[in-house]
Amino acid sequence: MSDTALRDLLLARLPKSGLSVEEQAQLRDLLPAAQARSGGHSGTVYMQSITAAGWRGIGPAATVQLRPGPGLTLVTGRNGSGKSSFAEAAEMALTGDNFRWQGRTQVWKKGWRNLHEHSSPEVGVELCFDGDSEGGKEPVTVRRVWHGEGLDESRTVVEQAGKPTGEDLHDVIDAEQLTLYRPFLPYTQLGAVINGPLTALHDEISRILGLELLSDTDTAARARAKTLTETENAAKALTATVIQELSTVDDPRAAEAVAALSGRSPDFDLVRALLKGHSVADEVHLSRLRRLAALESPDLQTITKAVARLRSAAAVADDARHGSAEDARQLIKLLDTALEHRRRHPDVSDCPVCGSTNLLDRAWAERTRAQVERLQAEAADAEAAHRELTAAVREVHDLMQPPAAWLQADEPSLAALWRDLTACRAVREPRELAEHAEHAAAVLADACLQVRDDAVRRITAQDGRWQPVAARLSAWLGQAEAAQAAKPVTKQIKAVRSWLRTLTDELRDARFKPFADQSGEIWRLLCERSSVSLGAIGLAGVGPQRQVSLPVSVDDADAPAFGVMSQGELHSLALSLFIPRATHQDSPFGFVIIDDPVQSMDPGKVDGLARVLDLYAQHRQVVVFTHDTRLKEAISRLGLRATVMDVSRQPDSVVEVVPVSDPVSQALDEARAVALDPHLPPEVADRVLPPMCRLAVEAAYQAAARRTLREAGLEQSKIQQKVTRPGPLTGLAAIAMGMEGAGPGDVLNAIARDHGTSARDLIRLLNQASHQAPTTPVGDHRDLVRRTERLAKEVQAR
Amino acid sequence: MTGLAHSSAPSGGLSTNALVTAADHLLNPPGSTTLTPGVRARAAAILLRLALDETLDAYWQTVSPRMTRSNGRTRMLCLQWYIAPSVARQWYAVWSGLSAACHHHTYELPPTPAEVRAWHQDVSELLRVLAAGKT
Repeated sequence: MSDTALRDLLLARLPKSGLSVEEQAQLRDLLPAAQARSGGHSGTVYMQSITAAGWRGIGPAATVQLRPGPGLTLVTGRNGSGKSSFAEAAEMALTGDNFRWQGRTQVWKKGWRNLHEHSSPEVGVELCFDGDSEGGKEPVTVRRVWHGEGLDESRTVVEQAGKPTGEDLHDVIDAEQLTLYRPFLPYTQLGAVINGPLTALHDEISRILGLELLSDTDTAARARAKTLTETENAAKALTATVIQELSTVDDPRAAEAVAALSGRSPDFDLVRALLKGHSVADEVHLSRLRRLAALESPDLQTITKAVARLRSAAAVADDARHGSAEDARQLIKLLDTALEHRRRHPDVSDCPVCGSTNLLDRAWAERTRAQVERLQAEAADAEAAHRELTAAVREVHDLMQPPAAWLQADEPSLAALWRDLTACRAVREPRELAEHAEHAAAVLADACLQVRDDAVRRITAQDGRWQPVAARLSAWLGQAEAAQAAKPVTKQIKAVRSWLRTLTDELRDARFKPFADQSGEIWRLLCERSSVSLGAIGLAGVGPQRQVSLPVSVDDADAPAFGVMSQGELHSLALSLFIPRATHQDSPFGFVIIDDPVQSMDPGKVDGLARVLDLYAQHRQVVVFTHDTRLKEAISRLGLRATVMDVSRQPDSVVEVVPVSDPVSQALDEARAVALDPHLPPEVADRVLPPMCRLAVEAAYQAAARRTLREAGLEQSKIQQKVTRPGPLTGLAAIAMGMEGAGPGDVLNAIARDHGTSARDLIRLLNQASHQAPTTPVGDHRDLVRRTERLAKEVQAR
Repeated sequence: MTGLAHSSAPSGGLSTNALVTAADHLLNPPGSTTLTPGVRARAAAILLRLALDETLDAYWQTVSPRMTRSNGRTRMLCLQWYIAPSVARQWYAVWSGLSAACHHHTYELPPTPAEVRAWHQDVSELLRVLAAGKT
């Protein structure tokens, strides 16, 4: 299953997961981003040929032709014939790597070139993609050529219809999937499949089950949880440190902060208030200091000025009062009255007061008017002096403002001094007022200055201690808030991980079951009679303890797999694990290439292997390289269908690949052997030869039908379905001749047209044979086989 | 057709059942024996192949007596058109395995007792199926 499908499944399960909205959001956030997979070719890939030149045992270019579709192909050859070189060439072409070379020394890595033909080594494969649309029907050739001495100094060329397509190898074959499904099993790896750590095997199988998305998500969740825990722990450690630091600081705020931090859950609001200067400690103690620091005393300069004014006004007023001004005013009144008297009695010049005569004359009147004017000016000055004094007294009184109400509480002595000053307001006498005000103001100003300076000094001292503490506290706050925020998230992550684990277990079990079943089935077929039995294999454990459990028992007693198994059994176990992986339904590789699985197997296992290979060849292209004839013989005795090729090596590394047999020749061989037996009773011959011959013709038509359907662009799985469906020969022949669905009569006519009327009669006879024992003798038995052979060859050559 | 697995002994004086039992005794000797395991395994293989041969001959006797004169491969290949093909093919495979084990090959190791024991099970199973499966 692809990541996308698994992602969809997971998201679809989420609403009913029982996880809270926040937890679901966490999970969504943790899911790795979806990755698009690219590739110019699609569908299952099959192998059409393997070519090698100058490569290992192969000198001049040699090719193994394969049928690109499900089926079993055996490539036989003696040791050193070059057959393994082909298997390695195929793997090398696609992977650029090969198990045989992994971890080998330089000496080994230098032996890859052929001794006789080493100028331009090259390996290549032709691939057929099932899903390619028109234009893509042509096989894709991947060639690997070398430009340097080293094995890894190679590059690949991708070609189609003889022309480079400009694609890279990974456009054609997904390297990741190649590692995932590994459709190549070299002999050397048979032992290594389970010799390696079982943890690695666990991981490889887990990856095939396609649950990496879940494990990746869990890894991300674990990482996030770790970060959160670290945050919480760091906050805890910091709390302890900061408390320690605070308790050494002499500041009421520090004491308050210690209290705030010490509780089961720290009082964040209090700490925030402390940092902003709004704390209780601030209100009570510091704000008083701040008030005092900002205290404004009455302005001494203004008072001094007002007092001076007062004094001068008092002096001027004194002068006016004690000088001529008042006299002038009185005299003005008298003279005005005298002048009024003179005006009412213009002819009298005698003084009514003293009685003197002739004095109050015209000249007197003029003189007296002038004197009155002068005297009036003097009187105005005295009036002004009086008003100025009144104003000066009021000014001084007005300057004497009472102290702020809090001062009494904060600084009583200062408040007393201040009250002394304001007491001036009761003094009216200018000189006394001036004396009192001047003295009281000076005293108060002095006292205020002292109090203010003291307050400022104390504030500065406290702040100097507090600033670094506040910075620490602020840092603590940030950390502690992060830790507080982390707490619920940690819980969410925990829930998410638990749910993921449940889902993983469920899906893993569901997906692993078919895998385990297949492994079990392969093991049973291979080791049916072995005293060692394999129970249900499983993926067990988590983390570093994870492994593939291989419950092995010998005669019903549990035993460790590697201790009790023979080499053949270990190889069987390896095959049991390898084949389900390489042929997994999600694998894009339709082929699986196995090099020499027969070695070290006893006869019973070879029969089992033949059955296993046949089983998987029903839906996969199984190519097996083998050095001995036992597998081939087992296949033939068990009546299984396979195409066999033989690789032989002449001097100078000239390698030849010759077709040996195929399902048609297999069936013909058997029919011929029976027909040629001189002691074969006719009634037995009549019964067995027609169906035997039918098998040969059927195999020939099957091959032809596959070709026709492949050319028509049908998928291999559909082709396989169509050609293996039981039915009359005419049905298969119809497909082969491109007239699928035509009636049996039309098909038989077409056969008569293409191969003669005797072919038509033969088909009729063989068709009958499969349904009932023929009631009529079939005639010359050897002739029947000859006719069958002729038709089969013609059909094959179509 | 008549029962075959328990047909009377046509040669050697032992029934097929007795041959299989004798093979079993060779593979799992009830008492001490002077024979080496390799020798016993090969001897058991010979007895088992004989059991298969005689059973098959007895079978062909009832179907077409002349078949007993045809060669071994013919008898084997024809069998699948008379009984279940899977049984016939298995018969061929086991018979071939036993035949190889019976002969001394200089280049091949003698059969191991475990291998022959496995064949013993196969033979017993085949005889049972053939006796039961004649419809």
